[in-house]
Amino acid sequence: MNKKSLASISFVLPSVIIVGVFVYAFIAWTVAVSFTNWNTLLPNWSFAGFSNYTSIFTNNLRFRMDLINNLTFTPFFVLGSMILGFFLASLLDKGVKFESFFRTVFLLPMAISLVVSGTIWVWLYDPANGAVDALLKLIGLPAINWLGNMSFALPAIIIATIWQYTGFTTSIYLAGLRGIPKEIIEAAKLDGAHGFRLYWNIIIPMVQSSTVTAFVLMIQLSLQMFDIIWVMTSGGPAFATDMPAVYMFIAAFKQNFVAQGAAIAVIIFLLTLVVVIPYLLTVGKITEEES
Amino acid sequence: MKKIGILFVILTLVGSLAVMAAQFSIYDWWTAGGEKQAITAELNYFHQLYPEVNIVQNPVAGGAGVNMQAVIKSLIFAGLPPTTFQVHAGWEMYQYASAKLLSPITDLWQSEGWTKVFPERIKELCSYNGQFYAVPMDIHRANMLWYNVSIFKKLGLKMPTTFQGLIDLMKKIKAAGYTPLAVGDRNEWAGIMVFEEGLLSTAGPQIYDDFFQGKVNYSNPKVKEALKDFRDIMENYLNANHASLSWDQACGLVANGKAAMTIMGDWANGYFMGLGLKAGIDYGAVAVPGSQGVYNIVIDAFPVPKGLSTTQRKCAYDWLKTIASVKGQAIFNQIKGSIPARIDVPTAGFNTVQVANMKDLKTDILVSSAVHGSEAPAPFVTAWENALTVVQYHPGMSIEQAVNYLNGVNAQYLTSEKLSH
Repeated sequence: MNKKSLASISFVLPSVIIVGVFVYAFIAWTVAVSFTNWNTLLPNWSFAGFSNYTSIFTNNLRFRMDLINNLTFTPFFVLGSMILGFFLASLLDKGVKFESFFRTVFLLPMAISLVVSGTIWVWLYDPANGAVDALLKLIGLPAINWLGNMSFALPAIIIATIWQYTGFTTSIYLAGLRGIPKEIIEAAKLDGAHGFRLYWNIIIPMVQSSTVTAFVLMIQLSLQMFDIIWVMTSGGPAFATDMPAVYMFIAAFKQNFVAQGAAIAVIIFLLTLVVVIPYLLTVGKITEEES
Repeated sequence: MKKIGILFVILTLVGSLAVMAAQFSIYDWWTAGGEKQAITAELNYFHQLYPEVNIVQNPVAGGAGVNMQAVIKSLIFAGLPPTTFQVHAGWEMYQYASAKLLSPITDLWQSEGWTKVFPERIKELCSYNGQFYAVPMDIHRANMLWYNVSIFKKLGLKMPTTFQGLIDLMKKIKAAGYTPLAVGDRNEWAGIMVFEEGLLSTAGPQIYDDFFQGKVNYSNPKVKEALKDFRDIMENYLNANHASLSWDQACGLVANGKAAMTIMGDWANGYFMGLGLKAGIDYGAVAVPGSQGVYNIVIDAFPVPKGLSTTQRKCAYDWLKTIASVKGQAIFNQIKGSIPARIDVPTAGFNTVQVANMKDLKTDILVSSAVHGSEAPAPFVTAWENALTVVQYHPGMSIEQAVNYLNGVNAQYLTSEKLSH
């Protein structure tokens, strides 16, 4: 081994150790716990087989509702924040006046803690004094009890989370749009591509890697959604907004079902992998093509 | 020079660790109006008595302590217990005691003579397997109804003496254009209290205790009646925004005349007092109609975790002596709205609601609250609350279907094995 590779190993090693311990070792530890009988306050390491997993899927109304809620939530949240993010990024890319001001305005929600924005949204949605219902009344619509109604609570949370994360997708798309060489756009325009056709045939395919990145990050956020839900509804009313991550917290920390909580965590992790692995493969392919 | 700098940094870090060890670190969930002032006053008194102790208060918001318990459990798992933490006596404390995470403090109870000044039922709830593990700071009463005096006067209403009478009253109040019952069940438990106190009022203390010991279930006619009433109230007589409010915001609706009544423990008393309202003039309180003569207790207590250093242990003992003293109990409870757990604290300085409760405590039948973790184990309480919420939000479910579903949940969690401790 020469000196150079020794040096590079010594640079990489600390981060490999840290990531190894704090990410992969803990994942392994959670998986291990999910196969134990640790469903009490104190650790109980006796082997439980798949019983924590079977108990989550059978005879458990709550987890089934959680999955349905999460699967309903995900497409609206992911597509909503991506489409809105692309739209805002395109406007910013047009070189509007005060661009940096608007960029800050769109990005700001992302910088706010989910707990803070959740609290603000609770105030906005309040049927007695909230701004949202005041606006509805102004245009002659009936007030809606957003967070207290089983049909409206999930849409209310979808709106709040889209608001929170659109700034994020905007910044991803803005970077993508800025990366398109001006000559290509000019050439397309000379060839007669304008408006919708320009976007559909040229720009959207050119920001494909941004789309894939945003898509995967949003799905992963969506599957792990916890903070804002905990603050806004704690999963209620009657689990209408409950998600696996909320249930995981309750099971592990309120009911002392630590192993069952770990099993839920593993399921969330597997669901995330289903999305992330194809992403890693595509990214590899895109980079290869580009190089 | 550089080496000296590094040495300085290391010494500072070590020094700060040493300071941390001598700190009195206390966790509680008292963050709403009234309760926050009460714990601050108590900590000030503690500071007066032990000025050398460095107090680090760690309040974690979230009524009934759900968020704080998560923090405490993770600290304990990590082997970093705080000096002491707020816990509800009874089952919530048993889970820590049975896991051997608490130090028995029977010696302290005996040397301080506390066995003579606290009521029997409270001593039971603070002990586990014949040893004392916690010291009660207050006694709350869960089965209380708070009302806006001016709405009652304006509508010429009289407080009924049965739970059925209370529902009839709600009907009247609704017809007059007011919200009959304010509830803030963003965290579920406040809504479930409506069922718990309704059950106590309708079925009485014996069936109430039997229910949480798994001896009777929802098929019992009295329990079934309480379940029907619960669904009726939750569907017809609440403020529309109940699911987005917290318990104190619901009390706020009563305080500002938007709602006539609320069912809440007497921490509501502290909230009203904190707003500068006068008991008997601006707001009134009675035991929930039908539950007169029964005191549904919730006890905030403080234990001593295992694994403390000698200094920390002394700090914890000093804190327990402070909160158990006559003066310590008076300072805290006068502001908190609750009453002293000691029976020998003079009534001077307490408001009319508290004085009435202090009298009742000596004569009433005592039961304890399941919602607040004293009456039943935590895994059951969560499942029970979840199931009732499902029933509450599915008015289409027939009463028979609801009873079947709820009985299934009780049977799963209230087995004799799970109830042995």
